[in-house]
Parts: sequence; C-alpha cells; structure tokens
Amino acid sequence: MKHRPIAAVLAGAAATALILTGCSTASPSTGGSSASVPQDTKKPASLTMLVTASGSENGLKALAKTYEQKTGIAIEFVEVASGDLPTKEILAAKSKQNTFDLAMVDGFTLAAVSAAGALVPLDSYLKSDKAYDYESDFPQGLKDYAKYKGVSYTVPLSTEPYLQWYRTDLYGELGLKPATTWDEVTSNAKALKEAGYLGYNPLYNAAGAAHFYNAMLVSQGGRMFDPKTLKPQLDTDVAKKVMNQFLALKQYGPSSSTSGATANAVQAFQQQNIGQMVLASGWWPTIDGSSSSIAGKVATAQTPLGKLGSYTPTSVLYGWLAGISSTSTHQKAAWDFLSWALGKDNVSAFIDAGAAPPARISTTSNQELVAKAPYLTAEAEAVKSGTTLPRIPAMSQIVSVLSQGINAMATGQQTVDAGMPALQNAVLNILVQAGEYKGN
Amino acid sequence: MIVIGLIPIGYAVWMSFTDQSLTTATPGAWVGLTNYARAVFTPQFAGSLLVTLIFVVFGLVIQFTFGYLLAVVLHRQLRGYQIFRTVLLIPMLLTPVVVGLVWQFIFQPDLGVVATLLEPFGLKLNVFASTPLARGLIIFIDCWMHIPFVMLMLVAGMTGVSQEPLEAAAVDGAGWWQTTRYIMLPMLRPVITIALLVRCVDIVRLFDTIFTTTQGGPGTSTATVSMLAYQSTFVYFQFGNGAALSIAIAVIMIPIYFFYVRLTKI
Repeated sequence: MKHRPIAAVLAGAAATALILTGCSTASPSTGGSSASVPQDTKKPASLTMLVTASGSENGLKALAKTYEQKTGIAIEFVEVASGDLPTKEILAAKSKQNTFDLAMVDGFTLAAVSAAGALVPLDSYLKSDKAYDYESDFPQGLKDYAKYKGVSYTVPLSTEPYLQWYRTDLYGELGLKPATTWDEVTSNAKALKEAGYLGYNPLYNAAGAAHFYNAMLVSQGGRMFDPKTLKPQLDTDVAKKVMNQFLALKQYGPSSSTSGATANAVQAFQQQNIGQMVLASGWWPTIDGSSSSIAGKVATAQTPLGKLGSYTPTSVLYGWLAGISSTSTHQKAAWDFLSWALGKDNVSAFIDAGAAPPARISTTSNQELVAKAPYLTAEAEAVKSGTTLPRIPAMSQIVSVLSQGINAMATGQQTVDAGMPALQNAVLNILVQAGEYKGN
Repeated sequence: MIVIGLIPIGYAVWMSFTDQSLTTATPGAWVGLTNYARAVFTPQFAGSLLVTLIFVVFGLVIQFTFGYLLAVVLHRQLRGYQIFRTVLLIPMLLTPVVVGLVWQFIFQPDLGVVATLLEPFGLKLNVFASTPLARGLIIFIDCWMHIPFVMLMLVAGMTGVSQEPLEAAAVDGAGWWQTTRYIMLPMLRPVITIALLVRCVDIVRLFDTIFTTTQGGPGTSTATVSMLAYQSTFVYFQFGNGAALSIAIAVIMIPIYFFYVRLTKI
C-alpha cells in the first residue's frame, strides 16, 4: 500500500500523456502526384471545413451559400483558433477520424501538417482541372509556397506578403513619402514622432516577433537560414545589424509593441495615429474596412529594401492555404468546392466578402479588382520575388524560440550581443535534433 | 489498478523513451534517455521550474495570508456577511481563460483600463514587458481567483474549532496574535495543510491564465513547466519530449502527493 501514492501520481502523468497522444501513429498519405483523379463513391450532402477567424473564412462562408444553391452540397465550417489548426488537422490524421474534409493551413505550419500525413496531394487535381488554371495563372513563388517537398498539398487561399502600410493623411500633412529603404522608415518615424504621432508600429511579442524580424532581414538581403544547408545565420553581422535596427524602432511605437499579438498591433494602428508599419497584406479588409476608424486613410507600398546582406532583398510571402484531409471520404467533392470557390470567377465576390484573394496573375493585373483592393499592386511586385520560411516541420518550434528570444531582447532581459549567439545555438540545436541540419 | 494505473504509466514511460512525434509518419523508435536529456535536463526546464516555484511560493504565502484574514472576518458573522461571502466567491466561479483575458485587457499597455487611468498623470505601465511585473500579475490573478477557496476551507475549519480554548485564552488575556499563533493555527493545521497542498498542485498546473495574459513572456519569464509541456506537445508535436516532461513533473510532485495522501488518509 505504500506505493499507492506514487502509482497514482505516475498514473496521472501517464494518463495525461496518453490523452495528449490521442492515438497511435498512422501511416502517412503517400506523396507525389497521381495521373488519375480519385473519384468519390457518392455525392456528399455536406463537406466540413476547418477554418480560423480571418478574411479568408468570411470569403469562404459567403461563397458557400451560393455553392450550396448551385450543387446542393452544404459547406459546414468549424472554427478553431489559428494556433490549434495544425493540432486538429494532425490529430485527425493520426486517429484516422474523418472529422473534416477541408482545412485552412498556415504557410509556416504546412510542413508539419503535411509530414504528418494530414493532407492529400493535390497535384493530380491541379493537372486535370483546366478551369482552375494553376499552371499559367499562378506565379511560381506562390506554387512553391503551397508545396512541401515538391508536392502540392495545398492551394493558395490568400496571398499576404508583408507590405509597408502608411497613413496617407499623416504623410500628406507632414509631406512624407512611403519609404523605399529602412533608413527612410526611421527618418519618417522621427518626423512623425516630432509631430506628435507614433512613428512606427513594430511587433516584439513572444509568440510571433520572428516573422517581423524575418521580414526586415529578408528585405535587406539577409536570411535566417542558409538556403542550401539550412544552417542558421543568426550570429552573422547582418543578422545583428538588422536586429539592432528592428529593436531601435521600439522608441517610435506604442507600449503594447512588446507584448501585443498581431491583432493588437492592427488595433493600435487603427486607433492610435501610428504613421507606418510592415504587415501582411491580408489585414487590408480589417484596416480599411467600413468599421475601421482609418478607412480611406491607408495605403500600401512595397516593403522597404536595403542591401546589407548578400541575398536578393525581397518580401516574405505569407498567407493561408487550403488543403484536403487525407481521411476525407469526399476528396473529389472537396476539390470541386475549392476549385470553384478559389476560381477566377469568384475573386471579385471573395474580395467583396472581406477576403484577401490568392495573387493570381489574372487578379493582380485586373484593374477592376485592383480598384477594390488597392494593395494588389504592391502585392503583385512582392509575389514576383517573394520568399518563404524554409518548409520544415520544426519551423513552429523555431519561430516560437526565436520570438521568445527577440521578446527578451526587446524587453531588456538580454542584449543583442548575448541574445543572437544564444538564438543561433538554440535554433541550431533544434535543426540538428530534427535531423534537418547535419553540419556544413 | 492495472487499467487506470499500470497501463497508462507504462505507456507514458515507454513514450518518454521514444522519439514519437506527430510530424513524422513512422512510429516512435526507442531513443533511450535522449528525451530526458533534450527536454528535462536543460536550462529551459530548470528555468520554467524556477518560475513555477516562484509562483508556488508567492501564491501560497499571499493566498494563505489573505484567505486566513478574510476567513476570520467571515467567521465572526458580522452583519451582511452573507453578501460579503457571496461577492468574495465570485472570482472562484469564473473560467480561468475569461479571467485571464479580462485582466489582460485591464493591463493592456495602450488602451487598457490602467493605462487610461494613468494617462492624465503622464505615466505609462507595461506589465507585460517587465519580468517582475508580469510574474506579479500572474500571481495576483491566481490569488484573486483562489483566495476565496482558501478562505472557504479555513472558515469551514474554524466552525469546527472548539470554543473552550479560545475562551480560556481570552480569560487569560491573550491578544489576537497570541490566540491566532498558539490556538487557532495549530488547531487548523490539517485544514491549512490540505488547502495549501491543493493550491500547490493547482499552481504547478497553472496554464490557462498564463496563456491568456502573458503567453509566457516577456521572453520566457512567466513560462511554467505546464506551458513547456504544452508547447512541446501541441506546438512542436514532440510527444516523446512531452511524455518525458510529464514524467519529470510527476516525479517532482511525488512528495507533495505523498504528503497529501498521508494527510487525507485516502
């Protein structure tokens, strides 16, 4: 009987771990493309899609009603927090439960979700679906954005590269122009601050600061990872210089910049007379929407560029993707909905519903659509050369560790000189443990 | 016993020795103590353990002190004490996630209630950017929610305390502190111990409040062992590491559980 407490404790821990595990590992979906398109055995009455609160969700919901009238297939939307999306998707695959047919997937979690076998390869659908016109109407960068290990597990649902956002009213009042370099960002920020406004809206939160630092680094010719070997490059002079630049912008921002999430930063941009920020283009419907206090006073431009590093200065591509569950019994029907909803004919309706559409060539070059969503002009440029975070399953962990480290530097817990080598080691360890980096 | 004890224990222990991950297609392979080396014997785990310890120590001291003082007031059954008791119990009934979000909004550094109140004085306060303040906020929220629990337990204990020694002490001229120190606290010792043990275990498991307020920041200064286990499992999908962390937490908590079981004679 003496062992009962110990047994109870270990039982509790073990039970927790068991619950966390869900079920045993399932076999993966087979990668690669198949020549023939799989067919469903019968037409479903409804399809279920995992979504998260976003413009894309609004767009899909708006289109789903029309789709149901057209085909008789209802689209049921299950909303989950964005951070929980990959978990739900992976657990469904591992437990072999058909809990959803379609799902939104965030770009930087695509590798984890695909590697777990949660998504079905879409190459055969993409090849055979002429109306969707994937081959010729999507820039190569966007196609690559939707791939993991060369297989298209998803299609672009929204295209949201980081762009420069600025307040046209404040810029007009002070005679400022959108920055083309980061030095100009700083000089604009100074001018705005001297006029009594907030000069810039940086983000240093412990959950996502890495994305904003990465945008600044990439736009100045730096990269967090060697594109060939994946070796982290956070201890380089370029990475440190950019980090110092990034942290120096704190003096021009609101207090919440060190702790607020992206949504808080958007809220601050709307409510606090902040002159400029760099942010994903997908926030346009929120910032310029009818309920926004700064609607009509905002414009976008390309991310400021610089040449500190040896790589091509460019934008970082972000955006939602859409995929089909490997456990779905209605994969063809699911594709038909995606193909229709994200087809050329529905782009206008998608924008009207508050969504940022995929940056099809036919979309960004269509002046009527550009008039509806002016950021598409800057987006077209960004998409041409835009890059992504490396598609590796450990990226969520890396982003998390980097963001915590950046937050520690932004809140004065650590200096850049101490913080960057620490981050280099931490990320290197993750990559080595994940088998993604084997030296040199 | 086998179903609820041995099988889960065995599975968790086995998993902690494998590299099971949700992002790999293959079943977990045996990796020995690697997960413990990677996840448990690390500065990150030691740091989160220290953070957890800080929350436990400060949380227990504050919760006991205020819980006891409120219990004394309630025990006297002054006029309107039922209303007082009901109001005090409200925080305990609220969902931790909602409580976290409410306090997060109150202390939001730009648009929050506190920021608005401080603005006329030209003052700014960002509790989320300061390690001591962020930790203080977490402790404060936990205390705000759970002092009523400690208070309830102590009030229940006080109603069972015999009046005779208290009356004798009063006759002998003992003051409030002497009565408390030499009569009340010793007689309440079992109740106090159980209340504090329950709270200790709860604070070690503290997650939702932190997740909705500081998210473990600034940096990792409010990240507890529970947050670390959550991240390892649900953000990084490394179930082997998560199991190793769970086992480690369980082993660390064994003395607490053992003490609790001894006291409650389950």
